Amino acid sequence: MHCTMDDLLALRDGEASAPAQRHLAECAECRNEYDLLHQRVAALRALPAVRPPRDRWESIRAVVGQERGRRRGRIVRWGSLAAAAVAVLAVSVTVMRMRAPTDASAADLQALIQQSQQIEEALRAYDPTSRVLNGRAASAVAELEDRIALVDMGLSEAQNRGAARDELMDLWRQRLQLMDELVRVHVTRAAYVGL
Amino acid sequence: MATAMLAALDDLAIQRAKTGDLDALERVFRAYEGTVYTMARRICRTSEDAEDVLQETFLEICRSIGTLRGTEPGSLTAWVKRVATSKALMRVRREQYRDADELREEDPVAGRRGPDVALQLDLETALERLSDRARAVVWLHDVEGYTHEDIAEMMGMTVSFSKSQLARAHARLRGWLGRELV
Repeated sequence: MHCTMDDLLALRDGEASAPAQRHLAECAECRNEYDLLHQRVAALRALPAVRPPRDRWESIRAVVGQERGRRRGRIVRWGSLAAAAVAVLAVSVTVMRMRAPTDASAADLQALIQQSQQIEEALRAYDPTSRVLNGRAASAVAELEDRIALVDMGLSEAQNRGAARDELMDLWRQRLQLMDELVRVHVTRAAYVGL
Repeated sequence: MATAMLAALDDLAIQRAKTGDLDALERVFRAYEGTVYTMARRICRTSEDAEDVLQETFLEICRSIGTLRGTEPGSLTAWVKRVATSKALMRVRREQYRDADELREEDPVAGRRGPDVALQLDLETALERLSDRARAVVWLHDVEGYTHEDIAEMMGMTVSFSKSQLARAHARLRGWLGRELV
């Protein structure tokens, strides 16, 4: 009795029974079918790549922009400029300390979260409507807020699926670095307009 | 995928993409759009479905790339393909609810080698003629290199069902293609 397709696939994958292996060795017709199987798979792998008929990036970018815009208002309330200046120092020290962790302990993760909360509090009292942003600073702030919102989405998703502590710490570190940049933008802008 | 595109995606670009930088995310898109669309087009029934899979895949990547471990192109490639596969299989499942998938194949040769028949199809046409699930299993196992265990997990079925789908698909392809692989 000749090999079935199940037998031929098992032979290819090294899972065939001894009788099937013996039969293949003895039967020219089954060896031919076995060769055809290999040729068919090779032909599948050689099928040409297909290009999408339209460029989808702009629509993807538009959707991502809309999603970030909806989240932007929820992420940060601004603290006083003095608090922001203090936060620059606090964040810088924190980020430098956390940049190369050696142990993903619960205490390290908690420290990152606490630092984030302290910076949020320091920034909360700041009223952005009472300050004037130049165009470049406004653009940089918007970009950084977008990126913080994205990290927040990642954190939310990671926490919901019970991600490992290393992964959460990586995200918190990214968030602190971005907030560090955000505070620096405000300090630079403040110095520029003499506030 | 073009070698130049992979080379352009260095660790720094991936790190920037992970912080949400849109220019870096576009570089990721440009590097992988061909790979993702080709896989989606081979698994899905229509080019419209494949385009939707392409868009859904990269929306997911833009939203979740911050959770990716590491910045090596290899880990990014594996993750992108996994996301794309998941989206394509979701599309296949959706289509199965919409109509009777198994009615698409006509000849009853499951589990046996097909005979040489007069009807000779080219490989792409024969692939499209398979049922959605059989086509997905053939592509994921024999081209993308996923194991039956991976496929069973992704498709929500058993390993033995994945194996039987693969045997059934090859039996049909053998019958439709005969000895000619065009």
